[in-house]
Amino acid sequence: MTRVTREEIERIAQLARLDVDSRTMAELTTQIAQILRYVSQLDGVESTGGEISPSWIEAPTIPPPRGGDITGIDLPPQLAAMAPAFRDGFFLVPRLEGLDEE
Amino acid sequence: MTGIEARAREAADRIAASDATGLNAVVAFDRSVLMRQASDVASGAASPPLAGLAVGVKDNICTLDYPTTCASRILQDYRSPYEATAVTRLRQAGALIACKTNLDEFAMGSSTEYSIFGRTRHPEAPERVAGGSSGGSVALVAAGAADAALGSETGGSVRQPAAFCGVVGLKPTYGRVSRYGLIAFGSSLDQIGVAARTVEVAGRVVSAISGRDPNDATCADLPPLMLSDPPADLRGFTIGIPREYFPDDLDRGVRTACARAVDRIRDAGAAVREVSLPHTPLAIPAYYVIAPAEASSNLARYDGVRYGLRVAPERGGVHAMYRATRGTGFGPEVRRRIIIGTYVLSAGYYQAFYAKAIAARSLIAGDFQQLFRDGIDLLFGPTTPTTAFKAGAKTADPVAMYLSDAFVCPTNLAGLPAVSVPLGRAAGLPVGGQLIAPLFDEAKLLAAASVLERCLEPQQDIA
Repeated sequence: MTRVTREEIERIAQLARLDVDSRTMAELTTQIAQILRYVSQLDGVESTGGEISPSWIEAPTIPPPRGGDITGIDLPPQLAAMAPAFRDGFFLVPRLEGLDEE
Repeated sequence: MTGIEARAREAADRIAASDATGLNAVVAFDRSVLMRQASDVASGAASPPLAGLAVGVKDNICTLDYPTTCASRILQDYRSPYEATAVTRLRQAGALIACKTNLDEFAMGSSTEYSIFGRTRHPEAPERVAGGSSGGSVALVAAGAADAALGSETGGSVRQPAAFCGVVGLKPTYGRVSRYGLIAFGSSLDQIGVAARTVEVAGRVVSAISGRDPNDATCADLPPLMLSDPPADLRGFTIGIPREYFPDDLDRGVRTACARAVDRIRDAGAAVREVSLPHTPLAIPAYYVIAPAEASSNLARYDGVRYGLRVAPERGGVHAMYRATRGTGFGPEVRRRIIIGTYVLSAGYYQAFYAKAIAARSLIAGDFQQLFRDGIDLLFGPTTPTTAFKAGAKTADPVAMYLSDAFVCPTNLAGLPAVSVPLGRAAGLPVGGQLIAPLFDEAKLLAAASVLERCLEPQQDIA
């Protein structure tokens, strides 16, 4: 059975760039443990090591993938048209204060 | 005023009226936008196929006339610079984009209770949920305020609320409809679906929005779906009834409604066989590994830098800004799923969870493919294990909430098309049953669904 500790969830939250306050963390740890216990029903499944089995995409009528032709789309003008603020190939955003502290 | 403009005014009145009842299906609506669209359609030379059809759009699908918030604080005032291909095609077909509809935040939920706009109520039983995550779209249609609505499915989020609210909910094959402009949750699962009061309208909408799209590499290289007139009966069809969809603890009313529907299917001339989808019990566990894993990647873009909410602490620099923005901007269910997704993909746990989940997915897809190879044309079973549950009944227990998708998420994992149709009522609440077809066989799916729809009395209390 998967044992989940608060410290582990705190580490995962750091990886996910997610602040969680200490009061919420306790409840979240309990819920995550519950969910992981539930999905551990997968323990008996023989893994293919992460490879996608061809049977997932097999179908009698599935069309072939599209060609990989490079059509030469000039990307920056498209982005410039879509972005609220764009200059010299960069998106302009509100200044990130305190950036120099990192 | 033209006929289309008159229809638009009626739709606007109905939408406003539904809001006044506290339904809370609509999150953005502007009467002048709707009337302007109607004027444009009416002044066009051609007679487009969906002329004047008022269609709601789930608020995780990008539109230009309204914000796209995903019912999340992190996108609360976000205005997309582009619109979804499905929305463009609706407009080209003459449909009117009626409003944006409520949803569970980032489409993560089964009740439309996880929304910054508050929950959407069941249109007939306000103390109950409308289902989710496309609860707003479905409730809007069920309340008669829109002719149809776009929703999205990752794990049953059109069919489940459709069953709860007594309307048709159609999920196309993965790749049938472009995902360009559908804000990503689980990229290998997401698909735009349709809620409508009839199979015919749902089919017409999917036809209009389907077809190849160079902006979506996962959209099948096929022309738009063409549908014929439905057959008179089901002679020549073989319908499989999966025993795993009728567990001992299935709600009695749902079981009775499905049994009656099976009788109607036989009466319509179909051969009926009991079949097995033996890996069905793995579907929810596999889904709640794969979908959160993909979500943890897709939602990494919400970091406060370029768009959306930014929460900037006084100290700590840009990483502190990421953490504070995301910690403040995401609600509890989204946070849970990001944590689960990050966990199952992390070093040391990938093989134990994610690798096994995708292996299970292949087994689940293989079950369906084997039956279709063995001569089964379509599968039939309940859409949901119960009728609509009471608001608040499952929010404290995430796993209990997840189990309400037990019969819908296998089809999402397998990429198959499926449609829920109203079967009748149990103790006054709607019951839905679903047909499931092979990949890209929406024509057969909707043909059978049309026949079944004709054979049933959705308003009748039968259990």
